[in-house]
Order: sequence, then C-alpha cells, then structure tokens
Amino acid sequence: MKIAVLRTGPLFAHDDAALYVAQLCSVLSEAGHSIESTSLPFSSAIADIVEQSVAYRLFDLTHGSDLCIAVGPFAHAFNHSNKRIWLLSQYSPVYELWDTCYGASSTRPNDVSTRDYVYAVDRAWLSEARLVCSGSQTIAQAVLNNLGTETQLLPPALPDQYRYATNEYEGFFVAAGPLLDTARISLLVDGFSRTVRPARLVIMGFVSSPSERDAAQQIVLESPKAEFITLEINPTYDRVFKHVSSALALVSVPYRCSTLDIFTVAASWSRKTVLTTIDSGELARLVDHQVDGYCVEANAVALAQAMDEISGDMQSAKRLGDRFGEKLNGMLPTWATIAQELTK
Amino acid sequence: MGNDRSGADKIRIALVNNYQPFVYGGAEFLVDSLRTQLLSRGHQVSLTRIPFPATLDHKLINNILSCRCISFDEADKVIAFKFPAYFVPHDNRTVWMFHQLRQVYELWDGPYGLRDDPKNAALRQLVIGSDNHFLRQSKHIFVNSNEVAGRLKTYNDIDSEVLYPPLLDRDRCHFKEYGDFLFYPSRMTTFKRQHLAVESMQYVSSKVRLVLAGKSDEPEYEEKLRNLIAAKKLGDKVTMLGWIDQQEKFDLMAGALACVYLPYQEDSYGFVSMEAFYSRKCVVTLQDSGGTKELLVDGVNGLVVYPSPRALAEKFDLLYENRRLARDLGEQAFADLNSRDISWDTVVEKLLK
Amino acid sequence: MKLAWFTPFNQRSAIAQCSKIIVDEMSRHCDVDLWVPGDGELIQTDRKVVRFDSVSDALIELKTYDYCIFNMGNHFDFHADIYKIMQGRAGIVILHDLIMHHFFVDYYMRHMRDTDAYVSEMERAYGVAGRDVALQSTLGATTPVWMGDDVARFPLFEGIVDRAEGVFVHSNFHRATVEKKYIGDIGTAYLPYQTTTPTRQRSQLLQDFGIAGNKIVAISSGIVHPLKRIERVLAVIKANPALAQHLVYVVVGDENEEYRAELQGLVDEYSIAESVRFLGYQPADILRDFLAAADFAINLRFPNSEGCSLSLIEQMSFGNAVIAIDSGMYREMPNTAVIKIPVNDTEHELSAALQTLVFDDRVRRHMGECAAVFARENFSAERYARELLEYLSRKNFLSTQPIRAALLEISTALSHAPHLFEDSTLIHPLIQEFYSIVNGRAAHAHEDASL
Repeated sequence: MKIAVLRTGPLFAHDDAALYVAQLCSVLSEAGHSIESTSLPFSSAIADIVEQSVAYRLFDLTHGSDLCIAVGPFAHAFNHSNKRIWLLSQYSPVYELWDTCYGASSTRPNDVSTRDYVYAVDRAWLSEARLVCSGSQTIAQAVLNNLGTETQLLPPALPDQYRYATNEYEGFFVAAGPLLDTARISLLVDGFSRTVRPARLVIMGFVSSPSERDAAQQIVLESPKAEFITLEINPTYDRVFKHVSSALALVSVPYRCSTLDIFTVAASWSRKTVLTTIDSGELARLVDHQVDGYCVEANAVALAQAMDEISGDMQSAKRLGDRFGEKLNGMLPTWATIAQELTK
Repeated sequence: MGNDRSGADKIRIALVNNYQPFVYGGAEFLVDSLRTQLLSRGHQVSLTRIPFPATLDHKLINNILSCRCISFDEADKVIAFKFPAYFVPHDNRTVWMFHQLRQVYELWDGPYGLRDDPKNAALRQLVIGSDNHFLRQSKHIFVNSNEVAGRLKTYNDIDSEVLYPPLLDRDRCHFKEYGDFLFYPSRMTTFKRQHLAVESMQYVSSKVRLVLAGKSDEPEYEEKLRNLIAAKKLGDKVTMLGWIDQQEKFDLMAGALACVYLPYQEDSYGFVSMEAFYSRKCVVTLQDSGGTKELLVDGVNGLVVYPSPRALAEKFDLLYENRRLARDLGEQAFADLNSRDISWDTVVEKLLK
Repeated sequence: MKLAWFTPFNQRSAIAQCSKIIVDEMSRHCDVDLWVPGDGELIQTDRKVVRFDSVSDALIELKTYDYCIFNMGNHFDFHADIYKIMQGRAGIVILHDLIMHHFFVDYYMRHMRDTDAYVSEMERAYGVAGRDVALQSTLGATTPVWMGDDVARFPLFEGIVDRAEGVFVHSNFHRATVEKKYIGDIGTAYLPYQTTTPTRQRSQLLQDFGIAGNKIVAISSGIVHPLKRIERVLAVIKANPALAQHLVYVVVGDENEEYRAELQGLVDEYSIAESVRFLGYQPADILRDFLAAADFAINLRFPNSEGCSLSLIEQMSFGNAVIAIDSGMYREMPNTAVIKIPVNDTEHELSAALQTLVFDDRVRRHMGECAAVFARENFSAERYARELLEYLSRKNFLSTQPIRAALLEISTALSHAPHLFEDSTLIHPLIQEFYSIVNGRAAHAHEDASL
C-alpha cells in the first residue's frame, strides 16, 4: 500500500512522536509498503490554534496514498478518506491542563472560545477517521469523557535503536525530556537538594530557546547541591538513552502528562526503577507505589525521601525496576503489531 | 536533533518545499542535498514538505492560505524553494526558487499549462498577485537559472540572483569510455519527453542504442513508451531500465556515448546535464528545452536540436559515427563546468547571508 | 453589464418599493431586468419583468446575465423562489434583514417538511449549541426559538450568504454582523427613499385629525410594537406638564393589539390624552403627509433586529430631527440630526431631548435641516446605485468560482467555531491572510468604513 504518514509537531524541539513515527515508517517499509512521511510545524500558542488547525484542514491529501496515518496535535484535521489517527497527545492547554497554571483559563474569553472550538473539531475530525488509537489509557479516557469518542488503546513501544539494556546501576538519578514548565525541573532539583545520601542527578534536557536553557541552568545553580547535578542541554539521543539505561533510577515529575514519555519507556526497558509524583498523569496511573516503583506526593520532601530510599536500598530498587519493566513489557505492543493495527 | 548547538554562527534553518505524493525528483534530491550540506556545517535543519493539491483549482488558493497560516517562528531562517511553499511567513526568509507555478506563466494556455478560461484566469490572477506580493517579503531571492530569473522578471518584475545548484555527489561522476549507447536518466513524465527520444530511434541508421532509466510518475506514460517501443519494433535498440540506484546511474553514464535530456521548457540545466558533464559526456537537448541551454552551447559542449524525432536521430547517428566529436564535446563540457563557481560552499554562503 | 434583479414586486412588500426606486436608477447605467417570482399583481414599472416559476428554465436563461442580484428578506412567501434560484446560480445577495431564521423555519419545516434539515442548518451555523436549541424547539421541549427574543442569537443568515458571490447590506451595523461569518467583500449603502409632495397642507392635516395647529408635533411611525418603547415617551410627557401642554405625540402604524391597549391604559392613567394620538394604520399618503408635517420624530426601537431602519430613513428624509436609542443603524447617524439616548436611560436624557426639540425652535429647525441634507446625500437612489455598481466592479470582488469554492471550504472548516465569531480576533489573522492572497496585497476587507 501507499501510506502517507503525517506528523505535526515542533520544528526543532524534541518530540517523542518524531522518534515513534520514524520507527513506524521503518517497520511499514520493511513490511513492503511505500511510505511518504511528512511533518508539519505546530505552534502550541493558543492564539495560533484556530488558524493552524484550519491550515492543516485545508491541505489536500486526497490523492496519491491509499491510507493516511496522522500523528500529532491536530493531525486529525487532515482530510483523507482512509484516515487512521494515532493519538499520542491532545492539546493539553484545553484538556488536562485547563484552568491550571500551565494551561488555558476559563477567565479568558479567548481561551474559552478556543477550548470550545478544539472540543468541537476534535469530535468532528476524529469521527471521520476509520480508526482512532490512543497512546495511553489516560488519553483514551479523556477522549471518551470529553468527546464521547471511543478509541482503541495502542501505546507506543520503544524504538529498536534505543533499546539499551544494562545491568549497570551507576550512582546517579536521571531525568530526561523537554525542559518545559510542566516538566517541573525546579521541583525535581529541589527534591534532590534535600536528599541526604550521596548521589548525583543528571538532567538531560531538551530546550528550544536560550531562555529555556538559561532558566534551567539558573535552577541548577541555585541548588545547594549544584555540584552534584549535571545539566546537559540538547544531548544526542544515543547519549540520553545510554544514560537512562545505566542510571540508578529515572525521575519523572511532569504535571498531568497524558502519556508515558519515551525516556520512561526506555527506563522500564532497562529495568530501572521509576520515581514519579501522584499528579504526573499516565505515569502515576501505572506506577504502584513501592510495588513496582515510587509514586509520591508532589513536593520536594517526598521526592527527597524517595530518592534516599532508592539510593539506600539498591536491591529493592532493582526489584521494583524489574517489576515495572515486566508490567510495561506486558502492556506495550511490538512495532509489528502497532503497524498492523494502524493499517488494518 | 540532538547536538548541542555551540557557536553563535550555527543556526536553526527550516527548509520548506512542497511535494507531490510519492514523487521524488531532482528538486527533492537537491533539497535533501542542501539539508545534508547544512547539517554537515553544524546547523540544525528541519525539512517541511507541504502537500501540493491534486488539482489546479480552488485547492490552490487554500494551499496558499495554509502555507501562510503555519508558523516557522522556531527557525532562525527559512529557505523555501517552490510555489506555494515559498509563501510561508518568516522575517528571515530566503527563497531559492526552482520554479513558480509554471502553468499560469510560461506554460499558460499551452499543452502543459492551464487553459485560458474564466475560472483559470481568476486563478492565474490570484497566483500572480500572490507571487508579486509575498515574494517581495523575502530577504533574498535566488533562482536556479537564468531561465527562472528571466521569467520572474518578465512576469512579476522581481529581481533575483542566479545560484546554480551543485551536485551532491559530484565525486561519483567518472569516465570510462565513449560507448555505443545514449543514456537518458530521468523521471519518466510527459514533461521530460522520453517519447521523443524513443520515436527518434526508428530513424537512426547507425547501431547506436538508447537506454532510458528512471522511475515513472505517470504509469500511463510508461506504458505509452513501452507500447511505442513494441509498435516500432525497437526492442533491440531501446532499453527501459526503470528505477536504478545512483551508483548504477553513474556507471552507465561513465560508459555512455553521450547523454540525452529533452525536457519541455525546463527551469534549469538539470542534474542530468551536470552529471553528464562531470562524466565528460556531452548532452543532446532540444531548442525548446529551456534552462538546459544555460550550460550547453550547441556544437561546443553539446548539441541543441530542433524538436523533432528525425532531427534527433540525425544527431544520434552523428555522435555514434564521429567518436572524436563525442569526445571533444564531452571534454569541453567537463572543462566548462569546472570553470564555473558551482559549489556547495558558495550555495550555503549565499543562502545564509 | 447586464443584471438580473430578483425581488418581490408586489404592493405588500417594502423591499419591492425599494427595488423599484433602485432599479430605475440602476437602469441608467446598465441593463437591468426584474426577475419576479410568482404570478400576483405587480407594482407599476417600465422595466422588463421576467416572471419565473421553473428553476431549471430560469437557470438556462440566466447564463446571459453578468450578475444575478438576489434581494433576500425574512418573509418566506416573498423570497422562497428567489432562494431556490440562488441554490443553482450564485449571485450577489442584498440582505435586507438581520434575522433570517423565520425564513428557514418556513423553508425547512413548512415547505420541505424536513425538520432534520432545519436542525442540520442550525448545527452547521452554530455547532452543537445550535443543534441543541433546534432540537429543543422542534421537539417542544421549550418555546421555539423563533418565537422569542433568543432568535437574535441564531439569525441563520449564514445559509443565505454562504453561497453568495457577494453580499450587500444597508448599514455598517448590519455589515459588522455579517462579516463575522461571511469571508468576502461586503458592500454597503443605506436604502434609498423618495419623498413626495404632501397631499395636503399641515394645517389641514392637523385639523382633519383634530390636532391644534399651534402644537409641536412629534411622530413615531412604523409598526406599533413593544420594541418601540412608546411607553417611555408617555412617561416623560406625564412627568413634564409643560411638554404635555405644547406637544402632540402622534403614533402612526399597524398596531399590536395587546401593546396598543397597554399604551392606551397609560394614556388614561397619566391623563395625557390631549397630548397623544394613536392613529393606527394609515394609507401611505397620510403617513407621508404626517412625516412632512411633523416637527420631529421619535424612534426608540431596541433591540435592533433590522439591517436598516426604513422608518428612520423616512423620518429623516422628510426633514425631521430624530430622537433614537444609541445603537444599531441609529448610532451611525450624524449627531447634528439625531439625538441619541443611551439604552439604559432612566428617561432623564429622553426628557432633556424632548424638551430641547419642543422648546428650542432654532435647534429643532437646524437639526431637521441637517437630517434632510444627510438624507438627500445618503438615502438617494443615485448614491445606492453608485455604491452597488462600484461594489460590482471592484477588483477585489470575490466573484469567481475558484475563490468562492475556496471560501466555502474555509467556511466549512470554521463552521465548528460559531462562537469564535463573537470575538473575531481569533480568526482575524486567517481572514486577513485570505484577503491578502485574493487581493495580492495586504488589504483590510473594508477599507472604506463610512457610507
């Protein structure tokens, strides 16, 4: 088949979906399909949403391909008679981040209007698709609750090239991902700053502007344990995944993130224990505190205690990591399955 | 994505082109080559390909609008290449124009263009108006040939600077011999007019052969060629290889007598011409092939022929029977091309200024 | 240029009267044929009249015209056949009414007997909110929206303008409403009006109606309906004995019975019968005589559901200063001719305005003259024809098929956002870009903000 794979997302900033789409295209190609992969820029500013989504909608994709797989914010706007949506995220400012300090607000009329619009078009444009798959249970539930639309659960698996499994547990905690506000680096650093056991924290962060980089550097500098924190800006993926695979544990404290980020998936592949907070969204839903990971109150004291527990009892941490790895591996499909599901 | 950006001169560059689904031709290859060159110089580069509509009607208007409504603010610089991708908004946009929407310009009301009727006239007016308005918002406008520069000046009164596209893999071009076949490597479309080359082979008197290579965008056209070969019983004179990889192409070129390139009003000289010249092979082209004549001078480094199969056949026989001529033209082509400043360093320097 | 001018053309239609004036003037500049639906008696005209009843035949013949001009109003019986033609041949819509909801209620539910189609139309225009209201109205869960004031939130003119090559309206106020939904160039001109020489002198008229000749006569004309807020005028008269002594307030027009009874009750209660006359419906000549004889007019209509106030135009055309509510088309009138009262005035400003116009002869006369001058310049057939012809000839005229088709796709994409149009800033960039593309320059949709 001729398959068009369309992704919307940032031009330069790190985007998990870009890595997943690359893997998907590779698998589809190997399966004998002809693949046309395209990515279009997406700006998350609320003022740009209407214009942008209409722009996507107006592109003519009705020709040339037998099937279209759309991934990314408002990618479901693309018009195609055989459209498959892989919903790895929704537009969070009007969904899970609505009326929080990170999202849009009911006190701003434009935000309310945009929210109503987003709900309406999500409902309308998703309903056109032959298939809608959600990348996490959190997303599936949100789509059902907010839009009344049922979706098939299809979480993304770790791309092959990033599967580093090691038995090393070096003495550092790792945090990886985009250094957005919702990543709550200050909470992470504050938590680490309160630990008493010796340990290091390696933050492998992706930024899309000098101001994001500067803000992160400032947070680290102000920490009393700054000398034990390494901040790497825009590292290569190889470097990140290798660090994740050899860390003591992965710390991920995003605010209401509706999917598992790729680095958490990588950590589970490497059987590394995961530390998160109860308000982190999908990850908090999956982690069973002190059974297969750590899921604590979203404050620095709780984080510090958990980190000390992990570094004080590495055997226990390994056991928890093993269990989480087993759990996730049991949940996540293979890429062959993903490709099959999206093209059935 | 991945390398930490160090150095104030390393920037984020968004390359913006449009595409027809599953069509990969010289323009796409050039943009990919540019991307490779920019990455190798330490810049961060993204490539955005705008889907081009299936029909030249109101969808064009919406395509332009869509281009205008997506944001490239993340980039420090945008480099755009074709209509309507070069409409994307950015304060620091450079256009390296490969061509405009030719169907409303030099091809208007012709066999390859839009027919002059009220509906198309309205579209034409809108496209020209948009070009006139939005192109002028660019920081710099480069074009890939004098042909395109001339059209831009004539139709839109916009000045531009010619910036010739170099080959990415110039080093793979080599010479082996002046063999017994003419080589035509190109996408197979009515625009490239492989059918004229095939038709000419019924008139050749020498033992020269014709080898066509390339993927076909138009299955009907490929079938037409095969039917033509069968109908004229040219099976032993004409070979259609279909898609071949780059190495095969360069090897074939190295052993060819000369290259053939017969597009209709091409925008620029075409990679085929450059690859041939670097392989010390002359090019046979047609008087109405447009930009191919930028590099080519008839009788000096190639042959420019009246667009008819018989005229082509005459030149094919001439080259076959006069190997010295084929060699002299080929050597001159090589020398001429090397004397020009066509390099990736020049291209990158100009596009990033 | 050859135009097919679609319009009702019977005596009962106000649009017909306007069409007659306009077409007579337009025909001095181009060929205009009147296309009239139905087979009833027509207003007298020298223009060629084409009576049509078969849509398919009409569409064939319409190919010979450069433009079709469709006069559309809310009255189904007068405009249904015109609407059917519009669906087969795009043209310029002259939109007379702000609210077209009742037209579509009749069209879908009475004529097509297709309630689902009405619901779909509401959804198309207003999204889920529209669909829900339509369902509630048709299922009897609530008072039908078309029977209450809430209909103003769902005007349903979108179904008229969506297919239009162009739209022409009769006030800036109306244009501002339409341009939130119609992505295209909108032309504007006030409706024309032709005054006539009075059939009788003022003194005779007043005598015939039992009004003392030395009184200051204030007039309110048009349908007598609660929207006209006549009770506020009565309250001011009651509170100002000096006003009551010098003023006779004449109310002319078809009466809403219930409201009329209410007003009469107030007159009796306030004991101001000497200062108020309800004349009810009067033939056109009598109405015009009164407009000519009046010293000033009172027009407190609010809220505004009209695209253009014919009563205001009449009143000013006869040289009357007007007291009006500061809204809608009334807001667009010059302050030298119209005294504008805030919507929430507690009769303080209304009282002051009445006292000024009753007791200050100089101001009253000056304002009346200004009204007449403004009317001559703006409510004329010449001005209307000029504006309409200029609109038709504009280079950035969105008349061509591919541009219309593009607009339709854009409109469809935006149809999920009816509430966004209440604050167009969110879609403004998109619309601006579209205009830039169509015009080949960075242009605003309406560079000429004044009429």
